[in-house]
Amino acid sequence: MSLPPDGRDLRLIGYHLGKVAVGLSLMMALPAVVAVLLGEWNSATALLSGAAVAFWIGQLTEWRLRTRAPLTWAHGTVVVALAWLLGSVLAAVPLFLSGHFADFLDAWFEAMSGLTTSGLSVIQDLDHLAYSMSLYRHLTHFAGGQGIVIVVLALLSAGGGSIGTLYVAEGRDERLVPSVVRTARFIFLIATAYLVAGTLVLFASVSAAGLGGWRGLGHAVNLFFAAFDTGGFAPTSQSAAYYHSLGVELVLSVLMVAGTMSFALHYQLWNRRYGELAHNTEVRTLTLTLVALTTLALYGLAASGAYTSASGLFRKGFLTVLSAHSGTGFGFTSGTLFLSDWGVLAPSAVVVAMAFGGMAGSTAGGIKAIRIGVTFTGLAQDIRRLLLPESALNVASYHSGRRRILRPELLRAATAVLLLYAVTYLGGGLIGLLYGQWDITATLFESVSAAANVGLSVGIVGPDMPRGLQLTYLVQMWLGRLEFVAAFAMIGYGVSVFRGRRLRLRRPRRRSA
Amino acid sequence: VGVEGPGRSRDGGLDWRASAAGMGLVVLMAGGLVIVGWLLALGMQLLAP
Repeated sequence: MSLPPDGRDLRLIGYHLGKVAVGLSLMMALPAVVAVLLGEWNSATALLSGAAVAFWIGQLTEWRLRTRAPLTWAHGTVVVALAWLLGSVLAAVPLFLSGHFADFLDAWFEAMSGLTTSGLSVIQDLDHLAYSMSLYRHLTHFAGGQGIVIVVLALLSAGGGSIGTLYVAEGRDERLVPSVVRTARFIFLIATAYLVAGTLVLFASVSAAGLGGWRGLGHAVNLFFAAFDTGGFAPTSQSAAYYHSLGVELVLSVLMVAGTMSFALHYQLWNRRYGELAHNTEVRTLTLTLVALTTLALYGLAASGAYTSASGLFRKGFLTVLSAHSGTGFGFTSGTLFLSDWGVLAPSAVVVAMAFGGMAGSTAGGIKAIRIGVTFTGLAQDIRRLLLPESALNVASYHSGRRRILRPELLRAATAVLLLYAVTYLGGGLIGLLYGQWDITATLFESVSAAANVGLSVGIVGPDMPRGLQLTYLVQMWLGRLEFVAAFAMIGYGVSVFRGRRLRLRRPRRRSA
Repeated sequence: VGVEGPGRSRDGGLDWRASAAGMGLVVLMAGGLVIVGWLLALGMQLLAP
């Protein structure tokens, strides 16, 4: 990319964004087929209209902007950042046409929440949503979770270096296998294997809970997408609590853990490198923080008298902490109880769990276990430096696939992103306070839930929420999903485009001879 | 020549055993966390003031 960017750069970015639009139209086509089969004509019309809009935008860019120019790192980051914005707007079209949203902003918020695997919802009358539209809503988790950009480019383009550029820009900075296309296919192989196994087991468990037949199968598929992609949407307004079934809750727990694990770790396990589970820094960090935060939350719940039985503490307390830490956001109890009945300690532990998030390279959001682990490793190294003699060799390392030396630049990057998340969490909390309707506990809870792409809510997010706050959370979900870098690159790109134009306007024209 | 890779055998086909073992281990890990959660719930029930 030239600085300032010129028309060729914009053409290249527009061309690749068109591919994302075509991918989205394919995503809408599947539930549209289901809608036709079930005779849900309103839903079919909405989905086909959305698919048509996305498809023609994609075709238009194919005709007008087709280019063979190579995609650089800068282009890749800008395309990814814009893809989430454009993708969520296009994905909002069928939702808006479904009639379950007050206006387009609500539908856009829902689509962004789905694609970023957040799970915050402003839908109206969810319990009467058409099956096909419910499938589409959950499918946004799958598309977003598996990486909208990598999916589209891996499937539709011929492969090569340009895909690699986009892949890394999306925040998954570790190539599992030499070819990124193969990496994408491996991610889909894992997702498909879990889709088949997870849906079957979920179907059995919801059937045992009394929800059999096609309706049960629909719930199983939707719950799988929401759990494995750490999304958190649910087919009913009561979320996971709707089923009143320990069996369903246990299956969802397994899927949430599987979803919050990095694809790199799945890769190691599928390659028979089982020792990775014991040595991996992220696994250790995640286990440690989960146990610590569960202990705090359960102690708080027991002390406040919210739940006195072990069953209540486990099914409401532990599962909520797991849901928060994995970035899923399933509700195992009503969110309004967090502030009214749970005391102070338990909701605080849930907020910290949401803020930490899952593993890097998974569909989970939040700061990520590797950054937490690396930051603490660096802190321990600094303390050792103080205690040891100057001549002593003081090397810190972490384990991710293999033992790696903790280099200062990695530590700096981890702490920088950690700080950005903290600022975003606090910023959203403060903006919520401006409305004067809630206290800092509630606004911080909701802000962290949005920026960490979790989806638990204490009741601020809903169809009647203030529009400014809704936009704030929408931006937070976008920033959290992109882990800031791609978003900042896009903003920098926009500034350089603007400044370039100003330069050109000021520059006097040369007279031709 | 087949492609060797995760969950794949030398001839390029899917190695079901490796894949199933990988998934099984994830289920075991999740099960372990659930058991820890249950034990913590039991402990807090007894320890809570």
